[in-house]
Amino acid sequence: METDRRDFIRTFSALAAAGVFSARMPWLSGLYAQEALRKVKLGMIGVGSRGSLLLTLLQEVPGVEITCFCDDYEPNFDRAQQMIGAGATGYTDYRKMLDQEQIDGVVIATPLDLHARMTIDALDAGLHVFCEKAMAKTYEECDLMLQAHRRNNKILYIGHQRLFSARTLKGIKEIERGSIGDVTQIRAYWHRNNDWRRPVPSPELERRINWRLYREYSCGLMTELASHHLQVANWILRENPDYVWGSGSINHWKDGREVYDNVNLVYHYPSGTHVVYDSLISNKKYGMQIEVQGPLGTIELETAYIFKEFPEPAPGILQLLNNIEKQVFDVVPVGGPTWVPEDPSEDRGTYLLERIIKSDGTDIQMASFVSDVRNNRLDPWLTEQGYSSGIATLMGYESMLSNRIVTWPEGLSL
Amino acid sequence: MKDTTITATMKKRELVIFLLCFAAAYTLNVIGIIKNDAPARELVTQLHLVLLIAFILYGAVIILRVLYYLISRLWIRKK
Repeated sequence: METDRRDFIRTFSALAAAGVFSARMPWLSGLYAQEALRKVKLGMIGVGSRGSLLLTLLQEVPGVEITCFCDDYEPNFDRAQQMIGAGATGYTDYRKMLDQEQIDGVVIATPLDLHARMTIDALDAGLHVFCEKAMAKTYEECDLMLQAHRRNNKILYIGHQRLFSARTLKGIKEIERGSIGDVTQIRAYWHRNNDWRRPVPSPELERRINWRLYREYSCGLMTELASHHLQVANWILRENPDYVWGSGSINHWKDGREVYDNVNLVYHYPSGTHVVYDSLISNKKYGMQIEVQGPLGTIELETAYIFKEFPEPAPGILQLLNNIEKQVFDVVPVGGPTWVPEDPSEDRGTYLLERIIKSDGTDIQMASFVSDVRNNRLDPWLTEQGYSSGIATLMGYESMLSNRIVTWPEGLSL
Repeated sequence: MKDTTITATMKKRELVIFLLCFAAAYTLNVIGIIKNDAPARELVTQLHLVLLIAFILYGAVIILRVLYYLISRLWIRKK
């Protein structure tokens, strides 16, 4: 498994270097020179379910040493200690860890409401930071994080792994090549069918473990899921939404949660393009997808398929045989219906990549973070992607809560 | 079991029948290109389809010939 992933990262880097993805993706260049290895020392803040996945991926990146970690929940603390080994120092207070450890950077995977202060403290301590998405819980916090990144001249990654996903990268290259014409609409959705709850050992831990369900700590489906798709939409359109209107409710999981279990939003962009988004956790027939639509076709980014509106016609001989078959076997209508349904285009789609790639980009993103830390290579655009996605996410959330149209906030740093 | 002899005449006849099938399939390709305004390169690029159709036609001719043979034998016996 470890070797497979290393091979994959190496292959991915080679593909990026060969220009298989877009030339306008400079953040991939950091991956090329993985071989001249200086040890990178990192600390983990938050090693719950997501944090331990990130930890596993980091342990597979060559030249990384996890020297310390922090978590104030005992089961997480013990698991992390076991995963890393006795060589790493464990803390329950991240500030102590920042004060006492000689490290290059930290990886933050804590509940949303803690992102801002932990990130700003780490940046101010002179460390590079990888912080899980969404960026933060308020506009002001997002802005303070961006300012801290600029003030300290330190790397700030926000965990939007689609920036490193081969499927998304290839799809975006096709969009840039004009394969679907101008982008006229993006339709995105994320559907699941589960209560989104984690088992709680005792009732007083409910809010702490199921923090995603409570407004004090999270903005629910918006920050946990929608932020990914909004980041991709902003990336494709190369602009930020100027306004959004949305509606959400709790119509199925009425179990005391505070965040919506279904959300529906329309984002408007200055170019006139709309992003239509919905998410629910009571039906998963359609799963998740980002459908980028244009007059010449549709690209489904999550699966890397392109569907042409006007597919290449079949060879002449096949068309001839089809016509003969139709003339012989088709029923001849004596009168046509006054209304027929709008049939979808018939193209079954073409897979955009040479081979099936299962990685969602998180492994490549962790390798890229390590590489950038090693080379002290800052990419402000990458941070700004996390920032604009964070702001767009919070605009949608505000629109649903206030039941009104919300515009891009004024006075922000971007 | 008797030995079966395939004579040179028989081989020649089968070859001629197959060539006729191929010519018919190729004619279909030409008509398809003209009628559907398809690119002329399909005269070459669709040869695999032409060959496939030629084999199908040849198979159909074999079935017809076998049927003809069986019916004519029955006819002779009745006489």
